Amino acid sequence: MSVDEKALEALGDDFYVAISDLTNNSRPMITSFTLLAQENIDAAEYLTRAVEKRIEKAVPHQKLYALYLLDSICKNVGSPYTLLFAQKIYQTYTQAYLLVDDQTRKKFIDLFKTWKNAKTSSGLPLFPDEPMAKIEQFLVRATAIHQQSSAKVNVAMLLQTIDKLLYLTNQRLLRSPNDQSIPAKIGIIKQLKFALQNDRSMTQDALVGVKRQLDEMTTAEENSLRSTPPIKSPPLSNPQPNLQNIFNSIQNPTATSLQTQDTGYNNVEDKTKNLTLLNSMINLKGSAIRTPTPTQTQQPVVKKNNLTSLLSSLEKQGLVKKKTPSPHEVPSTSLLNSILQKTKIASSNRLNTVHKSPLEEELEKFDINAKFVSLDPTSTYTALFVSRKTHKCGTCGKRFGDSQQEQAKSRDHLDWHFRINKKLKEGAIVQSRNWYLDDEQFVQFRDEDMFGSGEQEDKTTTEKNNAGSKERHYVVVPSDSEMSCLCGVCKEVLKARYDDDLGEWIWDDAVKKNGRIFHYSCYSETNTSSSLASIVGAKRTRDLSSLDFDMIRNVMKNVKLDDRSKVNTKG
Amino acid sequence: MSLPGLSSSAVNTSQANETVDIGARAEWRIEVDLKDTVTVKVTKGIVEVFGTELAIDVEYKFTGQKIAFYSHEGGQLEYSGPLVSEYVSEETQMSAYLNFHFALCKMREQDVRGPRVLILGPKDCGKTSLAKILASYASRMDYEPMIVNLNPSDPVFSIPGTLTGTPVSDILDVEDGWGQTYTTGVAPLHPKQPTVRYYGSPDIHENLKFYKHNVSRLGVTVCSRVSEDSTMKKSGVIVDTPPLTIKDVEIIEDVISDFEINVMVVIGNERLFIDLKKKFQAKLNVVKLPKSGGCVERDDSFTRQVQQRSIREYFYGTPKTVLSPYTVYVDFDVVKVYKPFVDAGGLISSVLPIGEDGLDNEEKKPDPLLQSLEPSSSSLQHCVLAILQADKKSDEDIILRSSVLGFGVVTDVDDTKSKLRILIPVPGRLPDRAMLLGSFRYTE
Repeated sequence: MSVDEKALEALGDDFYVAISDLTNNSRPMITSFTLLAQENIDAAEYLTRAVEKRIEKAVPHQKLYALYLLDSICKNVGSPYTLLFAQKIYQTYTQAYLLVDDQTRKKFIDLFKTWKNAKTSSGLPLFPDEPMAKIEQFLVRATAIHQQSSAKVNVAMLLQTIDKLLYLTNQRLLRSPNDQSIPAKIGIIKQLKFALQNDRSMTQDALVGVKRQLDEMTTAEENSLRSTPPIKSPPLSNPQPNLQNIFNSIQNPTATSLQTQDTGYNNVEDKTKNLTLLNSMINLKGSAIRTPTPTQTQQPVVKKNNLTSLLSSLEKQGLVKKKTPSPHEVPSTSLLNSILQKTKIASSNRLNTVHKSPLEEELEKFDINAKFVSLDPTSTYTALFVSRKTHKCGTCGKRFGDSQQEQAKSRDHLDWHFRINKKLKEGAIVQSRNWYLDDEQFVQFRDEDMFGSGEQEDKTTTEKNNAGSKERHYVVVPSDSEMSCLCGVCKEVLKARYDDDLGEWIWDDAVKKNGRIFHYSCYSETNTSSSLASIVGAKRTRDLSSLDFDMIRNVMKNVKLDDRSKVNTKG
Repeated sequence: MSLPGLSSSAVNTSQANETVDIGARAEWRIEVDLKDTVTVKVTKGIVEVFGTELAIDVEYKFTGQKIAFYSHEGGQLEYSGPLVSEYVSEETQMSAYLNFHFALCKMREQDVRGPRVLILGPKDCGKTSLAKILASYASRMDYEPMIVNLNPSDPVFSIPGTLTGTPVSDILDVEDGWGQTYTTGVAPLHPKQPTVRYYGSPDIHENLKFYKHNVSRLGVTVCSRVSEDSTMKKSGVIVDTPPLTIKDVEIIEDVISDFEINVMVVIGNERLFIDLKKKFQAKLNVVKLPKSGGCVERDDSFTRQVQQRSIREYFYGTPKTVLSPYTVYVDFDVVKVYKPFVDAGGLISSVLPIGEDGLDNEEKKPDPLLQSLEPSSSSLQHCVLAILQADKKSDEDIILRSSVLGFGVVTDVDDTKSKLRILIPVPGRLPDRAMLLGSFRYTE
């Protein structure tokens, strides 16, 4: 492996470390990583691997962001990334797909849809047809299986849901031990569970109905649990009997282990995280219980036809809002009417708030296809034009934000005003207009190359001319010469000064050509026009463009450097 | 503030500062004569001119403009100088334009390929103002859209007769209309970098074939610039047009494909909106926006004066950025001048509705787009010449593809000595490029 390749590999490793920070859906991060990928196209192979590795290694809910990065690189940079990613796109995509949750899968599918229509700049499809077709087949199969499984509801699933609901309700009881409604609710849920366990004759429709209602309540409980702060007393003292009680009542053989595990987690986040784990354990227990057991003597025997009434009493309990200490009490169960849809909306909304940037949220209501004309833009106006950009430039009114990046931009902007105003006030330069760029230069032209901040300039090393124009220009005073001389163009006096670093007397900012001394700016200005004339006079027809461009650039740079040096020497 | 005697000609000269209060969502509309200058200073609030927010307590000078100062939440300003008319209106369409801008932003945030907007509408309905407003709003949110002007009568970042594409990379200059370009050198605000094509006439129907040729060439350049730059790709393109009607549907179709348009906005003309919606809604979003009450009809003489002013500014700059052009003397045989080809049939077809006649001619024999021109005082005196990028010895198809390097004005023609005196913006010799003659003239 050559040195170069090692360097590239190291770059790939660095890139992997960098993109590991992509733990939320951050558009700026994705954009800057995309730019990095664009700038380091030499290391494309390694960067590709880094992204693939990230998609593979990231925790499931973060895989999507890495995939968005892949998407951004392919769509914005294109070849060679598209080709490199295409090699393993099927594996990358499907393996990640299998590990993420349903909501994220939807996003995966949405993304895939954009790939099917996207074209590279050369007009070819983003990825080759073959892996695209494979992914499509995979998705068709995967979604079909998914639909099947969700369509069928059986008692086992219901019991699982009930256990989850029970667990959540108990959690809430721990938080609000004074809430009288909760134990009652728990009682009803238990009855429901018991009834279901003993009743095998329910129709599919009825089961689906029950499941919907349960799902709704579970969601409500989850939400309320999230918004209620945990009580301050150590959780061990109070909850234990409660838990004991509950788990005993359903004759849970693993109650003790569950309970210890539960008390180990004190904050809401952890609890929700471990919910899945707990659920699976409860599930195990649930399936054990489902085999009819004759030991449930404590529970009142509920008849089949009581099921409906049970549910309605449960609803009532849910509706009871009084005595609740927290304002974030369980939302009303009136939602039960359109449960499934609402759950879907609620969950997708919750997901969106996680994935959407504040900007996107602000823009949410403005849809080009809808009747946007009569909306009130005031809050968005304030949010996006004013609050997002708090610092207003006193000279031109341009606004900047609070972030470090924005503040740096603001400083550069003020510097720029200062230099330009100084230049204009001095009135030293008699300017003439320059030529326009030709098409090719226009396509390649980037404003930041001309007037960006210092760092940005350094980045644009593509222009070979930059280095030249950035050099300091001076002429060492010959030993047999006077200390001052006249500039060959403007006839102003050039005075020599002693430069400590060089240890010589020099004429600063000057050049010597054909034995005569010129101000560097005077020389390059006249040189620009005269060389243009000579070029134009020459027989060459091509390559004119790049030369003109360099000259324009040179002139611009000189103005700028000139200004900078003046600013510096002033201080 | 203003110097005595400087603007004493106008009847309603006001030397003292007048204060204007602008209510929320209202705008102060003013007309300034071409020979007058008005100084305006914002003292309170956020006040914007065509979407560009003004700095507080900074004097802005306006000459020969019909503009509006809008404030979304109310503001106050002071002015001094003669105004042809001035009033505060509370019936503005800025909320609708803001909403449209936000809807475009949503598109920008949802897709890597942002909105490509085509603005259509009758004469003086505020198309260019909307284009400017959309570009400014986008710039205020750090987008960099490309502004494309297809109206040769109304110069944008160049002289009249041109079609241009310009990335709006920074704040626009409210005093200058659009602002300076990089060709100016040092300018008080960040300059912009346009690509310029020369069509050469204020009327697109005068030589529709050559107009369409230039539109499609500009489309190629603009689209490749946009596709190379992710920020601009996301920010999109805003295309301003000459007044087109449903009869010009062929041109509209061309523009849609040349600039990959995905949003079409029709201002203030229900009929045109319905017609276009029927025709295009399957392919793209067709949106209707109301016409602002502030739109004023510009008569031909005002338009011509503005055109002359922009030619003068090309060579001599503005009061803020004075430029010095150069005069060169060249022999007739040194220059190679072309003009757009117009044959006898072309004259007729420009009078008749577009369509049948033009097509018949094309089928007979493909007319060239350009024809060579012999320099003489009758053909070139006071004419504006576009100096193209293409070398003068190039083939015609290369010349046709070429964009503009700069402009020159023939200030004198000496038929006896076969010499031309040409004013060029850049010091040095006259570039050895092909030149294109249009119908614009300029006298100093």
